[in-house]
Amino acid sequence: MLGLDTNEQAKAAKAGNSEAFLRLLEGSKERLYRIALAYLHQEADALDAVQEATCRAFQSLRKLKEPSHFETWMVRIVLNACADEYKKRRRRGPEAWLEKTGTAGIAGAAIAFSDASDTRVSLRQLVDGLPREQKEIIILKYYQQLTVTEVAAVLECPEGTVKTRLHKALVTLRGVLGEEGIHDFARA
Amino acid sequence: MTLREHDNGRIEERLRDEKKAWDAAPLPAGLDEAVYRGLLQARRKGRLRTRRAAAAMSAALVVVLLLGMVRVSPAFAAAVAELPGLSGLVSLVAGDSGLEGAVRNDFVQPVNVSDSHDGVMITVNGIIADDTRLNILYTVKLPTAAKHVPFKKFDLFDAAAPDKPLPVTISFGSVPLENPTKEFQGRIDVNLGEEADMPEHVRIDMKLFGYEGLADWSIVIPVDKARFEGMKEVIPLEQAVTAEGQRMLFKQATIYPTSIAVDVEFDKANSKRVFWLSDLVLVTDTGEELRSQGSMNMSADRMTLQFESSFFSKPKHLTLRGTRWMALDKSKLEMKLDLEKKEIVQAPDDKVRLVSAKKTGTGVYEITLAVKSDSSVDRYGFTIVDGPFRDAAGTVFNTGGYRTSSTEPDKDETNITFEVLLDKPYTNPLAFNIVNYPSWIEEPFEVKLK
Repeated sequence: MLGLDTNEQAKAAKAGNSEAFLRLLEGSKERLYRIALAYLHQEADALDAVQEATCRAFQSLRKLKEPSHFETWMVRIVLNACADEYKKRRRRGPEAWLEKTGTAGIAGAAIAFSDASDTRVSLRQLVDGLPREQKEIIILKYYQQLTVTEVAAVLECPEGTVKTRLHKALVTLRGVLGEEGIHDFARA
Repeated sequence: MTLREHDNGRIEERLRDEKKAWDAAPLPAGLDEAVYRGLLQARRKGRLRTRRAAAAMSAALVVVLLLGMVRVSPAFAAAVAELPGLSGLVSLVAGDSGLEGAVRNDFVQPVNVSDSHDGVMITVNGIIADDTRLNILYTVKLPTAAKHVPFKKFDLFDAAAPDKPLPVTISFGSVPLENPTKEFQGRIDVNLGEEADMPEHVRIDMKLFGYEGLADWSIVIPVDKARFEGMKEVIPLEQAVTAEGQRMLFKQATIYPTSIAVDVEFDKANSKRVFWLSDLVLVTDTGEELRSQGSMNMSADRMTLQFESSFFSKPKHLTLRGTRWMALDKSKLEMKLDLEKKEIVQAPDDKVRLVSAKKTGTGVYEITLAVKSDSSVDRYGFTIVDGPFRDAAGTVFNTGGYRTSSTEPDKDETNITFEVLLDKPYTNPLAFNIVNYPSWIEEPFEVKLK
């Protein structure tokens, strides 16, 4: 669930109290990192995104209208930071990607998938290739287990829009993986 | 169930598997650092002046962090060598894990302000500051080669209140070089007294030996306090340690970016005065040892112990260890000397003897004491007595500023020489306050800070 009981801390953080801000982040940092990791797949890139999001958040704290929405707001910022990092990585091209993958620092993802099946890796690639607005919904809805209402709050759009995008995303994924799904159905 | 719904169910199931896989990825050690760096980055961007040097250094440090560096290494040295005008930054902080952490975390504030006259140019290249401590990184250029910088005196002020010196303890110094040189780099370590706040601008006035009668070298150092605002962790302790009937209470620990302060109170009902706690060290859960940086006696019953910082390394556990207490019966805290008879009238025991007492000027006497100590374990520069003293009639006199303490390698005896200012008539014997003495409670202790 988003919307932790962080009202007072958020108010203090808004007043420019960096200690309160750090305390607030203490409660959110794991979620932010996991969102960034699911978005960017690389530990180093995810850490960059968290750093950038922290910076942007502290700079624009005064724009946070409702202190109790701190985490929702932070998630939105980290998604934006991830989108920028994703674009940057695309610009750097495949060499940069490989170079980074070749170094240490992606142990997290590597370990998580050391026993992954081919099918799961291909699902990952499919999610990665989804349009940004669909990919974000998949990450929030399935990897962070937010409700449609909460996803709508993070993305600042109507719930209907979330449902439509979610449907499109699932259609796309089914379109590619569907054959296998039908095969399984037939077997069952 | 329709075929489409079933397909969606299959995909959702796989997405849930995918979630499990993502959740299984461990949290990286660098996550806290990423958050801190983001905060520092925001503060830097928030300032009016841009600091290209800091940005360059920041970029270099990101590389270091990605490589997961923990200790100083050649790569680290190369990465942080970019503070303008200062190539030896790493060697200046090496050995102090707190400062090394500060450097690794982009906590150095570039300054680059110089004062130059009479052929001597002193530059403050940068500072490492928090609420309690100011480390000044400097370069000195001399007109002629020397083996060390002939610093004579430093005075520090709040630049906004230039007549009131800051209550500080200053450590500096270096091993003289074998080959004389004209250019030096070094660090001046300034500890701010607990009653003072770190000013926005610190002025440091410096005097050099060999340049007497000339103006001071004076530099105003801007301190960006936003860089360390709120950066401390306070840990309430309230843990008591007792040995030989003496009780001390560890009140709280405060972790600042460049130091750790541990407040201790000694029970007023103790029969002994505790002067010092020996062989103190903080040990982390990974076995790293944070060394003691000394202690300050805030009053007879309160002491603040200082250690290297773990602020940036963020250990899970931190344990304070000590081996013994320097303590003396409260009934024995006075030493009486008869200068005329050249003898000790009263002393805690026979470990101390009077070596000499001679008049060295008008109203000035120089006294040398020798005290038996075991230099292999005592590791303490004894002074035995200090501060104002009284004569037999109760008149108060002062000790002078000159003082030496020396131990010969093959003798378990320390010689202490100090001056007494007897600028008015006096009556023997003279009663001095004992401020340290080789009298120990041998009782190792341990306090878990976190």
